[in-house]
Amino acid sequence: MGKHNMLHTHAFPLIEAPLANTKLLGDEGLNDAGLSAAMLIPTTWFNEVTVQYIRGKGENDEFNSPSPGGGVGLAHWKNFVDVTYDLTVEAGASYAKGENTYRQSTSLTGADLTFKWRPSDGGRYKSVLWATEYLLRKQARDGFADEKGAGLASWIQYQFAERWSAVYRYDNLVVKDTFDTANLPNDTWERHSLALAYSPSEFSSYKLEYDQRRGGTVSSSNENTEKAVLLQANYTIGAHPAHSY
Amino acid sequence: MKIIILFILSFPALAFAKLQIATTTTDLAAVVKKVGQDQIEVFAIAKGTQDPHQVEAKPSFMIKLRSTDLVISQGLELESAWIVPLIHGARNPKLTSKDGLFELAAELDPIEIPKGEISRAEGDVHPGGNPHFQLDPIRLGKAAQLIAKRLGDLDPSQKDFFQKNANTFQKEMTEETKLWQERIKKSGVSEIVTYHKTFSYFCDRFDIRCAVQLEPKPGIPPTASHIISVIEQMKKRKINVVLIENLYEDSVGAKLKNDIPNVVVKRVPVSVEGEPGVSTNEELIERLVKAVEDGRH
Repeated sequence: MGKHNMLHTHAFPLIEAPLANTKLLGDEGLNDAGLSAAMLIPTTWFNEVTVQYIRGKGENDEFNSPSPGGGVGLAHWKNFVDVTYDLTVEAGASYAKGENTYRQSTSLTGADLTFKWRPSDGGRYKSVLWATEYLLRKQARDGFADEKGAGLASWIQYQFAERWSAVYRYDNLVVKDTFDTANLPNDTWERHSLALAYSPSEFSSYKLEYDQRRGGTVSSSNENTEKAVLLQANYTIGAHPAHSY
Repeated sequence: MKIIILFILSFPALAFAKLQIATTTTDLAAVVKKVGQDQIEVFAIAKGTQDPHQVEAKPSFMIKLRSTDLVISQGLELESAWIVPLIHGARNPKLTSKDGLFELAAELDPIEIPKGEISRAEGDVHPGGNPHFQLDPIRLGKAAQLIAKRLGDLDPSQKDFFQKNANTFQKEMTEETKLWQERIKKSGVSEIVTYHKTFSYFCDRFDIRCAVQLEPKPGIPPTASHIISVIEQMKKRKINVVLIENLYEDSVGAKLKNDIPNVVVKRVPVSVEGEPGVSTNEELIERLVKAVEDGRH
């Protein structure tokens, strides 16, 4: 589902996933056991359709149907083109539908666009990635208006030395007609994040991040802006296969 | 009726279809061109300016590999991080079969095979030995023989043609090697410093010592303390030639020039098409031999 949801946590560009991913898909994202099949469409560019059927019993409340056999159908369409040898563009669309806790349907719709530049001469030392992703979740429940949650995330990752990169991300989340006023109140969240990452080797990385988030619960002093500084150390132990492009 | 006509028209094209070969590196593509000439189509996935350890598995390569008959790689895990996902992503049964990926280095008497327990603490170690045989002209000649045999298996009608071309290439490389060896011997250069262990086969063939690298361990960028140790070793052993593979930046070279009088630091290509004017294996090795000669006393 989407672009960011496919990343391993240690490969996240920033310490946390975008607001839409954590609030609408859960802390672990849409991550469940199931069946998957992918087919390359015979075109001159990379054009792949993936269809999946997952249990819907994992971390994801939105698909936690009490009905026996209430699984989730998912489709992802990925297009990838070399603009030049050094510059690539990927465009994707995703859709998933399944039954929620209220025995009604939940649907997810996503779209993503990623530009990546890494020169073939000197690409060890510099690269740029710019990705933008949109995610919409709609949930139905008897006797209620449909709950709608939608979020956009756009991040730019600039590698300026062999082991160093800087990342900026803007992400937001808009929730309307919520079913869960305590955990997902109707509101508009906005967040700006800036991080500096250092990777001494492919097996370790350190990230220093500053976040400024507006929205959500209002504090006793009538503030709803949260500022945070985060430091993350990541260590990979053992063999790890290469991530997909 | 239309189908029958189409079939008849397409039959000659099928019968004389050229083999489609992909190689992981430009060095192997150059050898395949020599062996296959106009009877094959070949493309290299990595460019000559790219580090073959770190090529990204772009999905667009999978599209190119859909119609490929064979992938030829250097092997010994040089390209395994990206060539394996590319082959799987291409969904081409010819490539996913047992013989779809032809790895050469293991067949060419590899050197620097690590002994004892292998650990990541030693950096990016290749358990099967050093994969960078592309700078040894004699092994390239042997590689041409292996390639000719494999291409002949895929297209028996051209078997003799491939073999003849491989023999010619091997003979040329053997003869030129003798001349290159004489020139390097005459230059008086007996030891060089390199960035990575890319030159091990070159040094082995031309009787040059290259035990000192700017990387403290394979795949680990130079550290300040290691560079100090390199400078001490260069002064002690009177090494005054540094060849930096042009995949890497040469900021370390500037430091060496400051600290060691008369040192010759050259940033050189280590693959075919690694710089303009280097379009064959012979031109690449000629370029490196000249770089060594430039460091003569």
